[in-house]
Amino acid sequence: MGHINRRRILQGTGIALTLPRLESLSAKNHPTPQAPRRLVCVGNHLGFYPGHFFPEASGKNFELTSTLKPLQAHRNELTVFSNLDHGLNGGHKAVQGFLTGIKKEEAAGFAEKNISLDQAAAESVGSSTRFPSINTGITEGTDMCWTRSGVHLPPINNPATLFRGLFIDSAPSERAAERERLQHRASVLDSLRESATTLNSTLGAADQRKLDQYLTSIRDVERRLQMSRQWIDRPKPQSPIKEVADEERQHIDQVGLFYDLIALALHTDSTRVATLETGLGFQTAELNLDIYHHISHQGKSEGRIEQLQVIEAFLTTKLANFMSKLKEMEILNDTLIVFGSGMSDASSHSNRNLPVLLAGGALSHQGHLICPVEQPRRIPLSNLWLSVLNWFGSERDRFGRSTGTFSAMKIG
Amino acid sequence: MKLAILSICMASALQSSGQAKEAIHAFLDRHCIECHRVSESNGDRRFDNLPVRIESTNDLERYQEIVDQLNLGAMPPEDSPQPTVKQRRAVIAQLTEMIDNAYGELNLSGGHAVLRRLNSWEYRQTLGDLLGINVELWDPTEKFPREVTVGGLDNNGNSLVTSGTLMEHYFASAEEAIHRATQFQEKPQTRFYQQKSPFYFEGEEAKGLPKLFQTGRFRWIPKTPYTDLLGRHYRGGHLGFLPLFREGGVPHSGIYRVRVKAAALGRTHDYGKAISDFRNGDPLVLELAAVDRRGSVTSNGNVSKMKSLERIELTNEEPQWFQWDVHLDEGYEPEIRFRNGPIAAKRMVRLLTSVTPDKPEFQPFIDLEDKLQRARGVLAAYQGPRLRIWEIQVEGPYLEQWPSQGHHTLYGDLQPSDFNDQNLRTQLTQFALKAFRQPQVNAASTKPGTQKLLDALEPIVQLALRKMDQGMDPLKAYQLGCQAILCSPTFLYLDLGEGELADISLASRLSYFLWSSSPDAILLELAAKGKLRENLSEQVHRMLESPKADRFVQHFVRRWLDLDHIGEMPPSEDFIQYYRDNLGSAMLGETRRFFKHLLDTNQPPVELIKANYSFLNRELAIHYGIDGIEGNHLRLVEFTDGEVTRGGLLCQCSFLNASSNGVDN
Repeated sequence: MGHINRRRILQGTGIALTLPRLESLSAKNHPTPQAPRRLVCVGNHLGFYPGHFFPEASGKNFELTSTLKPLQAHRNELTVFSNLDHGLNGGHKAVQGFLTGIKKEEAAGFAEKNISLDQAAAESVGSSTRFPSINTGITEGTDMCWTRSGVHLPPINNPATLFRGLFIDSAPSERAAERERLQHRASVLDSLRESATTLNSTLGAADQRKLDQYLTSIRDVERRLQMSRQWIDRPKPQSPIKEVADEERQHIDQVGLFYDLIALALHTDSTRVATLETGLGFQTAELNLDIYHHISHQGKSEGRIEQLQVIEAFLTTKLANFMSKLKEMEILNDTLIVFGSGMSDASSHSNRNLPVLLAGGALSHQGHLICPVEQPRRIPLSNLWLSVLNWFGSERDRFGRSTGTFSAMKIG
Repeated sequence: MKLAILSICMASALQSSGQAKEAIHAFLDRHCIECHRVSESNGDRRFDNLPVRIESTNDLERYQEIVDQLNLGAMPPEDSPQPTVKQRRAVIAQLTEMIDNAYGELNLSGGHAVLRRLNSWEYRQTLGDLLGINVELWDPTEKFPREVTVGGLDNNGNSLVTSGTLMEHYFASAEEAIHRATQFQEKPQTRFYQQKSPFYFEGEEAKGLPKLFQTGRFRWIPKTPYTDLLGRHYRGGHLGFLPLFREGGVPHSGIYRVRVKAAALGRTHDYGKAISDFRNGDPLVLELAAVDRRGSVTSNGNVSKMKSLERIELTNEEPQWFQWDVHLDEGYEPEIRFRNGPIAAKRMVRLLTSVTPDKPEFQPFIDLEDKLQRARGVLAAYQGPRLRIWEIQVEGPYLEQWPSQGHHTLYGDLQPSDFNDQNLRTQLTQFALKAFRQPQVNAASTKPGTQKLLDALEPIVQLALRKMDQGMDPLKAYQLGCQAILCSPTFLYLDLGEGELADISLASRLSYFLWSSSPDAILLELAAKGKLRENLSEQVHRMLESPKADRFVQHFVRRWLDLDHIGEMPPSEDFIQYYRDNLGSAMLGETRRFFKHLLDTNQPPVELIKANYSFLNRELAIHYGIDGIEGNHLRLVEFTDGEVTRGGLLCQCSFLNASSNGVDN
């Protein structure tokens, strides 16, 4: 490839939305005595080149690395963590453990399976918002979000679909049909539970355990059905922007658009938990670069590292824009952003010393926090996730592979 | 053969003997732990805390990584003391055995066959067979969560997960399947549709049509009685079929006869590099695709779902009729495409005018200011490969039976108004027994096993009766009951039995093994009479000869060799043959045909590696560097000694692609 016009790229070819200044929509529609806390998790499959991500010095006066430079305006509202990971191996296959600490192959051995940070948070929101969580991503994403039954939640990859879900009310006749459908479904669920219980009494212990999963699933559907019923007749908020059209978009444009829609979803209190994942299939040709996966195997070649730098700075630029938007909406202080990857150096397929940063949430941010390198003082990344969950309002004392809450910094 | 392979996997349950363990750890101490330990931890790997026994998947992967590095010869690094070749080999063998055994231990369900949920693949076939609906175009499991696999296989009862998400999809798919199988309306008439060139429109006529049908820089209304297709991209390379677009696709699912009058022009050209993405002299490949335009967007040619149905190679410059009988789902319509043309008409204009600007045929146009006139002029004068289409005809649906067998399974001979509280129970019971993979019984001879199922069905019968009581239309109440049956545990879970198998469990085991679906009436009847065992060999042969046995080949090979991986790390777009020549599907076809050949001719497992033949078409042969293979169909090719050999799985493109990580170093 030829010369990279970095400025053009960083500006983006974007269709980024100009968000009008919003009166506090959420406060108007759903008065809440205390500002709700929100969580946004952002993950990239192919890591961040460590040499350009981690600052040298520790503390608040660290020097911004080239990947972090776009976050300059927010440097006092973020903490970069060194030496955190889940102790997983497996390269590409371990990336899905980023928000879970547990690989799907091992999930069976854990009470909450490989539930991800966002879903654990979403559970504690319950039906307070229309959507317990909003999971978005570019194409297939990177297998980032998992439920407590060990099921992968694929991301919404069409911004238009998300827009419709957030802001477009269905017609009254459709709603009536939907209500009727939900009602019949509830009766069907009752009969299935009874049927399974009858069957259960004829089975051996091992089979009963399998059937338990079925019964749990029935309860899960019932719970969701209950939530749908609560929301079906409540009008959706007015969209402050014009409808997002259903059309083919470049991946680099989708990233900004998803961030914008997530900001709106949080601001209108349609959800309090959102995720965004960029996967192996992220098309970097749109940034005039080679295929992302090829570049990530930089093998310490300067050309490839330079190209990686463009992508990674693109991703942090979008993050910085998102933070500015939340600030403008006056919700950055109630929103904690988790940003990083389940891979550190994609060239060696390493899942150690993961690039992780926390931003926003009005934490007393530490700039660059260097955690202990050596066992037994090394801190599992799950500890950080546990503290994030506590901050969010999920009362629990374990998550993933946690050994306790995160002690190196006060969170919440 | 499968048995042989399985028995290899299930070798000794012990991880490794004490002696081997000592040898392994002496080796690790000397060659690995020296650098990978607490204070050094090179490459972020530590092996000093590696447990002696593999207790978890994580341990297993750490050991696997060591074996991988030893196999590659990448570790120990050059500047460190090296083990002898013999030592290296021995420790690789010991570690591999230890890993294999641990793998088995970590994933077995303690020697018991547990109640197993149908996996997505089996659910799809079972639903299709039960209700007689085509599940090739419509995939009821499209949105199901991916199945958990163990050793690549997705039929480990212990590991398959049932979740609320999956349940919700079961509801939706059952509802849709019942809707698709229901045929109370009059038998649809066979209709004839026809479109002669031109296939593009403009002005009033073009209003509201997708771009595909509109004229533009690369497509225009020709003065000739035919239209030339120029490239692979939809602009100038795909033809829609207006009569069926106007109807919103075919009005009924069924078999349709598609006829196309076409010819191949300019197969040999002298445009050199301008048209280098076409292999000079090749036949032109005409593709028939089924497309669904509902919910589509303009930028991808207004197609939301697509399936390639047929491909044919054209060599004749004189027009000929080509004809296929294909299944089209309601709402789908045909498209005709130039499958192996140059990439895109737009690109062709650019290259023809920059690489071959001196060609006399382009002179009148090359300096035109008007971009539209210039592009059209150049493309009309162009003498390279053109797929020439005169006319497209579609006739259908041809329905073998109306209403279908699936409708009959659901409703028997009853009409909508026939349903009432008297026959609801009988109808639901009859349908449930079929869904539950049971032989049809008369009430007098109910066996205890069947009674168990009827007890589990009772709440569903009660549901339907209650709904009807509350005023629901009796047919609707019946359909709701059927939907519940298709979501009930007795349908979704296979009770495969243990120990000495009952014939009925044996029937299900056989059919899910070889057909990925429920046993048919013949198997069930033999099982009901207790005669399945004595006819076992004959039945297995019958099953293998059925077209349904292809499901076993297709699915087993796909899982075993992780072939879904193909395309996950797509070849670079510079590798144009891959896309133009459909190498992806040819390589899958090669491996399937090879496996099926071994199965059909009962070859020993070693043939998987040792075979000196494979199944190739022209494109795959060219890719392998083998001359003299003509035509797009796969056929047996023997490799002679000393030539290129691509015999055996390990040399096949699919295997190599699926096991690579997509990086060319």
